[in-house]
Amino acid sequence: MRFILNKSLKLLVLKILILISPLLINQVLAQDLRIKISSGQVEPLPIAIADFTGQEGKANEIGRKISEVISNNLVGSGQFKALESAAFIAPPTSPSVRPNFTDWSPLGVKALITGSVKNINNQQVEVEFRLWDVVAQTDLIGLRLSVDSKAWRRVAHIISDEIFQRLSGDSGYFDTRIVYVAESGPQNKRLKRLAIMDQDGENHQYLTDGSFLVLTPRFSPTTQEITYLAYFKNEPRVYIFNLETGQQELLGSFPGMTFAPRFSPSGDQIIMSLATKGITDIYTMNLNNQKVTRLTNNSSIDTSPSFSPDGKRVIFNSDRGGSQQIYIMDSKGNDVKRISFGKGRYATPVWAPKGDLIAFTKMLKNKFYIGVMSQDGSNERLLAEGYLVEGPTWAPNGRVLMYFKQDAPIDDGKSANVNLYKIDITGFRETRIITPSDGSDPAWSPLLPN
Amino acid sequence: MNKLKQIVGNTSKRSLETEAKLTQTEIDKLRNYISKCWETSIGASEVKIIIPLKISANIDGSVNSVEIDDQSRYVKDTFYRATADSARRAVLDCSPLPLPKNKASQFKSFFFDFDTSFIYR
Repeated sequence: MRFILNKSLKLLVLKILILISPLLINQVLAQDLRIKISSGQVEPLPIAIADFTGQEGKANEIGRKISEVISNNLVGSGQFKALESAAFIAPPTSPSVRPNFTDWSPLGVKALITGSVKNINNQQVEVEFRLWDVVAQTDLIGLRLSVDSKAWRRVAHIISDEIFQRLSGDSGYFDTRIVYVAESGPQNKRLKRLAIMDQDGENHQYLTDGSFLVLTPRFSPTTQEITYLAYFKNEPRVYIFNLETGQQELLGSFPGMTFAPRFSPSGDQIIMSLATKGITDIYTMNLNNQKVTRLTNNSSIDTSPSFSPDGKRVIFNSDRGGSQQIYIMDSKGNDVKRISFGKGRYATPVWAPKGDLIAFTKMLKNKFYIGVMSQDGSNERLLAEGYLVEGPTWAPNGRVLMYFKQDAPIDDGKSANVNLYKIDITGFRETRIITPSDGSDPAWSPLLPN
Repeated sequence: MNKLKQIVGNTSKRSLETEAKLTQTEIDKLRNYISKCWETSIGASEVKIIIPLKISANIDGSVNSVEIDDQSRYVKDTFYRATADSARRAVLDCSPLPLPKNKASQFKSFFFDFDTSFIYR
């Protein structure tokens, strides 16, 4: 009897389930309505950057300048467009006060930056900022920094990096410096000096006096040292320059010319080319114990080496195949493979900080190009071109390249202009970097330590 | 049992009549409408997965709430976070939504799934 009742009960439950299943399915379907949005626009984000308010004249002035630098950084990246302050309906008075978003939405802005500057004492100021999502009506990030009032420009770059990352996802590159070769004078008596500046061209200073030729400066990962080639007493050698002490040191004692130096990602090695007895090969030198290791051993010219970000591989250019091309090998010099196969000649390869791309200079039919390719040589894209464009260097977020460009020479005995340019890896927004004189061979620092 | 069949049968018949599925035209209209509002950055190309947003809308199409569904990823991944924020702005900017008539109950709780693969298509 009990067995018959259980079986009947099961049958009854089953019948009920079958009857109500359409109702259940409808309920499930209604809850799970999903619509895929698979297109949109990649556009500069409209933002408003309010002047950072201050209690009095000096703080106000610093606040205004900070806002201006932030605006220049963000707009210059090409990913933002800033609303003119004249269009503001009610400029905010303090970053800690929630803005009236209805004052900003009609202006079409999606994000608002507010800030303030307060004097702590004669030398120090407190800078505070907040980033607001105008559409979602919420705050996204805020920061408060106490700094020497003279460091206001760096504060502006640090804030720019925070905003850039929060709104784009990518790390910023504004709190960085550029070292480059400042050029001046006529072609036959060219003065070339090492110079350093903020990435926006400000805080410019010369590091050498021009009494000897300098080339290819490169930052160490710690940012406090630069390695470069100098023709001191007409002998081309690799040197290390300490930015803090101003001291420069000859790197090792080699029987031939050393050039094209770069630091390893760990900062404890220099990789470079050494030319001796008509052969140019790639070597590393350990900065701790001065041990020199030969990586290539070939009758060709092997130069412009660059480590991968993990330090395990090296790219370089070589004419071992008959023309100048890009090759890859492991950090011991083994497993050498050619990776460039397009038309033309390839030079100055440099690995992106993210490890995904390699930037290079290309020469084809009397024209120069700056391009990028994947690390196996595929997906080659040319970003910039000119009579002479050369020597790409990566911003630390791997999204922007800087290089130098020379105009075609005018036949009047003067040198053609040589200037620094930057471009993002989509190939858009080529922008000239203004320097006091001509400039070449730029190198981009990592983000400065806080 | 027959009475039960009558009740359930009638109910499911009413459900089918008043909560009919969206037509492809209605879905495309909503999709295109939101797409026009979605402005994002090049960093969105780093997001290789769908970004689901849970939406609640009123009968008149005004958006009640927008929730970013994957909060764990939102907190950890800067690209996902920035792109999800842009998707949220798109939905809010596009309010009120052009909802099909007599189907508004389906929009009390639904999802927009944002796909960034268009950037490098």
